[in-house]
Formats: sequence, structure tokens, C-alpha cells
Amino acid sequence: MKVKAVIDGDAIKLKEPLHFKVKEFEVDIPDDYIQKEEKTEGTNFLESLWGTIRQFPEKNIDWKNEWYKHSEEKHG
Amino acid sequence: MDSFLIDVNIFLDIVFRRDTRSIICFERLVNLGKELYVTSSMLPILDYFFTKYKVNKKEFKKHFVTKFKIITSTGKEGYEALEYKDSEDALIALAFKRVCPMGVIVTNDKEMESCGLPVYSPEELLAVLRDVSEGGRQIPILDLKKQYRYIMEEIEDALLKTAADAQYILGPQVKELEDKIAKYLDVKHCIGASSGTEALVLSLRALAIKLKGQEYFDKADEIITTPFTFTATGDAILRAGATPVFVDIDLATYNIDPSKIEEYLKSTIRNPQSKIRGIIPVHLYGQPCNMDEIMKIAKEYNLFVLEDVAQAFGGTWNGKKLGSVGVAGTFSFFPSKNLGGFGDGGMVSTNDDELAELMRMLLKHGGKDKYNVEHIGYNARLDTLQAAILLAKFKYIDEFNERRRKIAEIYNHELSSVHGVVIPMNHSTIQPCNKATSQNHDGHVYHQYTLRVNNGKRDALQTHLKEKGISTMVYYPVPLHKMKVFEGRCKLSGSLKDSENAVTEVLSLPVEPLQTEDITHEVIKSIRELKL
Repeated sequence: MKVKAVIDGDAIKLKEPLHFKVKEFEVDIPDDYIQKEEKTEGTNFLESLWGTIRQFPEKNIDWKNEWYKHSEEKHG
Repeated sequence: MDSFLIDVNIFLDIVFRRDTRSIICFERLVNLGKELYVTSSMLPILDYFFTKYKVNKKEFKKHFVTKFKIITSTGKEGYEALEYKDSEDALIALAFKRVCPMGVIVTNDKEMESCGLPVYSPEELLAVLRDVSEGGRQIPILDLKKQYRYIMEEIEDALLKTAADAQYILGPQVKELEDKIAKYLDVKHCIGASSGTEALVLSLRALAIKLKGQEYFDKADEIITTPFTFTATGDAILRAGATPVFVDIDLATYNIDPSKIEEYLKSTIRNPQSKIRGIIPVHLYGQPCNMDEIMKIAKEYNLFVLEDVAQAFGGTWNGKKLGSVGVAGTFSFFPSKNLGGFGDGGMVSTNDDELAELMRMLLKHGGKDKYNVEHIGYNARLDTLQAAILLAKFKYIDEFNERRRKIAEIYNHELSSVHGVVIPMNHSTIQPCNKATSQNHDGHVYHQYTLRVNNGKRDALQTHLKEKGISTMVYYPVPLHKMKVFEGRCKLSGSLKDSENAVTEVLSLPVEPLQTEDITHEVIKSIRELKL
């Protein structure tokens, strides 16, 4: 991707900073080097799910066993 | 590696924040835009824990449906599952395998492998996802399997209910679809047909009966259309007994050039033998024809205008839906169309009561009473099953057309500066002929995103893209007037050089409504790699 670059700065320490711009030019940066915006879709989705839960279990659970136990109690 | 079934234990670990690796793996799957599934057989288990931990189920469902699809098992899979050691797991895996044969099961239960799909734990999957997230993928021009999975729940519900209801011929779904589409197009009548081609033939036959009082047009009757289209347009004219007159296109829009229609009409004005009856403009690739000009010419020369909207469902001209501008419009529901069924299907739209009545007769063998018919008819009804599928898909047409436009916007933006490539001009960049009435919005629905490749490099670009795993198509390689079927059966209006150039230069790029921006950019990057 070609991007416009400008040398821009105030390198000399002055009482009143002197801002200067010199030379506008194009640089060709390979696409691989361009930082893509960090994706947050997954985090947002999980937070939306977690927002619907009023009570989280405090310890790890063997989900399947608990389900089997519940089924047994229900159906005898 | 695009579809993932999240097994019960992993799903619950994620939802109840019990396992960090599962959560990280899941976040990555969502960020990569992967398809995520659970099965209906898992729901009672999930529901038990939702109740136990006081989940607001209504709110949960609202978020859940944005990322997950629920797969239903069939009875046959139930019988098959009984042959496995763990029938509960087998039922999940077999249903998932049917819908996603290339899918992956995310579970800690290695025994699920016995059903024939790869099984990964969250930790294993994280390592693999890093490797396969970039490159090496095949990019189809259209992905009907992906589209099916996107609206699977509604389609399957429609299919099963219609099959069980057994009203297979002109069942209530056909009427419901006709009414809904008529309302959408803002026309009085919509008539379902067995295909887009039959919709054209039915319309022309009805026009012949109405205008001439005879079953078919005569050979001396001429109908103007474009030579740069699918053969059905010209073929339907022949089947209705008339002679197609091919008028050249405007290369900028690929559509019939109204100024060339007028040239032809002016050239024949002094010919008493000439019996020009109508014009069939084709809104090719989803791009509206210049209907202001075409309607003005038709009015001046007393011609009918039958719009061929096969490729432009949902497209507009000056805010009017295509198919509502001419005397009638014909639509195709071929699977690849913007609104496509699971086989052939079509429709005609019209505000003309007489034409509507005639077409309803013609598609049912030619009479109001099929045991005592008046006209030479067809068996050309739209199947109830197709109507049911189309009703489910119709809900998504505006969303999908918008997705197509967004993909086209990216292509337009990124390819406009590529040397040797001419991007398609869209409605918003065409100077409207009537500035007072024309609204300059984009009525294009990008059934195809078709560009032109100059300097004889089209085939080289297609080969290059194929090597990169990117599918493209040439629509169309031969203009109608060069086909054998039209030899001695058509008339040409002057030079058709723009149509003849178009067939050597056009190339349609992937414009799958569900394709991600990353994929669109991958196509663009690959085009830029080749010196054109």
C-alpha cells in the first residue's frame, strides 16, 4: 500500500516551539507490515452473553455428570 | 476450516467463565468470522444450567442468535446414532457432519472423532488457528452452502412444514410469495412461474394474445433486445413466435443503449413492412437500464416494454423497483440469483389485469379450467416447495443486496486506479437523462461485479486468479447474434461492436454477500499482483 508521509516535528528545543513541515513524499509499505485494527468482536459478544447471567458458579463443574444426575433424579 | 461445533462442556465453560483457554479460543473464532454451531439436542442441557444460574434467557437468546446456528438432527440420524458407543455425542456429530462436512468439533471428548470429523480441544485449536487464519483458502464466486447455513433454521422449518403439509401444487406458499413480492415491488400482480425463462415466454405469449388477438407473434413482429445477455432473453422471443432485433449495448453499463434503440427505430420508420412491437431491456448484472429513456422511446413509438429483471431483484430506477416500470417484469429464482431458490423458479410482475389473467391461464395449460382450456398453454407453475424456500430467503433480500453493494464499493474504491482495468459504472455515476425526476442513488444490486480487462489480458488475469484459488466467471463469452440458434432468426441493428468487445473483456469477480472484507481485499491484492 502506498501512503503519503510527511517529515513533521519540532526537534530543536526552543522557548516557543517552532513547528515545521518539510517535503511530502510517498512510501510503499508492504501490506503485511500494516497494523490492522485489533478485533474486539469476540470480547464484545462474550460480554453481551455474560451480561445476561445473574449468578456465575464459583468453582469448576463437571457439567455432564451434573446433567446426568439431574436427569436421573427427574426420570428416576 | 470455517465451521465449528462447540460441544456442551466447552460451551458451558465459555458461557459461565470457567475456563480461560476455552474463552480465548472462542474469542478468536468470533474475531476470525468463523461459523459457530450447537445442535438442538444440546439445548435441554444448556437450558438446565441457564435456569440454575438465573440466566435471562430472553436476553441471552437475542445475543446468541447473532453468532450461533442451531442444527436439528433427523430421525434417520437418530437411528444411526444408536449404533455408536455414546449415542448422545453421535447425534450431535452426525447432524453437524451433514450440514458442515468440512467442519471441526471443539470438545475435550476425543471419542467424538469416531463420527468422522476432526476433533480439537480449545488448546489444540488455538495453535492451529494461528497457522490457518491467513492465506491458502479457496474463494468462490458465490457460496450457496454458506448462504444456506446462514439462514438454515428458517429454511429447514419451511421445508419440513411444506413437505408435511403436502399441498405441493400451487399451495398457499405460492400465493403468499406472490402477494409479498407484489407489495415489495409496488405492483398489482405477481405470478409465480417455473423459471425466469418461462416467465419471459408467458409474458410474451400473453402480450401476443392481448395485442394481436392470436396465440403467438408472427415472424414479422420484431422485439428489440440486447445481444449481451443470457440466451433465455432472445430464446423467449423466438418461442413466442417473434423475431429478436439485437441492438448494441453501452459499454459503460453493459446494458442496451437507448440512443441505439432510437437509431434503429428511426431507420425503420419509412418501412411499411416493419412491425416493431416492443423492447426487452435486461438489467444485466443487477444494473438498472436507463428506464427514463427507454420508456420515453416506447411511448413515442407505441411499443411495449417488458423488463428482464432476472439478475436485478431489489434493484431500483428513480426509486421505483425494477419490474414495476414497464408493462411487466420477469424474474428468475435460479439458485445463484440475488433471490434464488433450491432449483428453478421465476415470477412475472405487472399492473395490467388482463395480462395477469392471461398468464395465470397460460401457466396452467392455457385455461382457467385445466380440463377445458382456451389457449396453447404450458405446465409452468412455481412449485410450492420453491415458494416456501423463497419466502424464507425473501426476508434477507435487502440485507444481502446491501452486503453486495458494500463489497462492490470496496472493489470500486481499490480497483479504480489499477491500470488496464475498467470498473463497472454504477447508477450513481451515470448522468440521469431527466435531471428533474432522476434521483442519483445507486439502484444497482450487483448480481455480478463485472469489470473489463483491457489489452487482451482478461484470460491471463483469470488464470492468475485461479492459481490463487480465486474463482471468476466470464458472463457471457458469446453474444446472442453469434449463436447458431439465432442464425437466420434474428435481425441486427447496425454494428454490435461494443457487445463483441465486451465478451472478450468482461470478468466477474467473487461477490458472495457473506464474504468478509478480508476476502474482498485478498481478491484485490491478487489482481494488483499481475501487470495489466
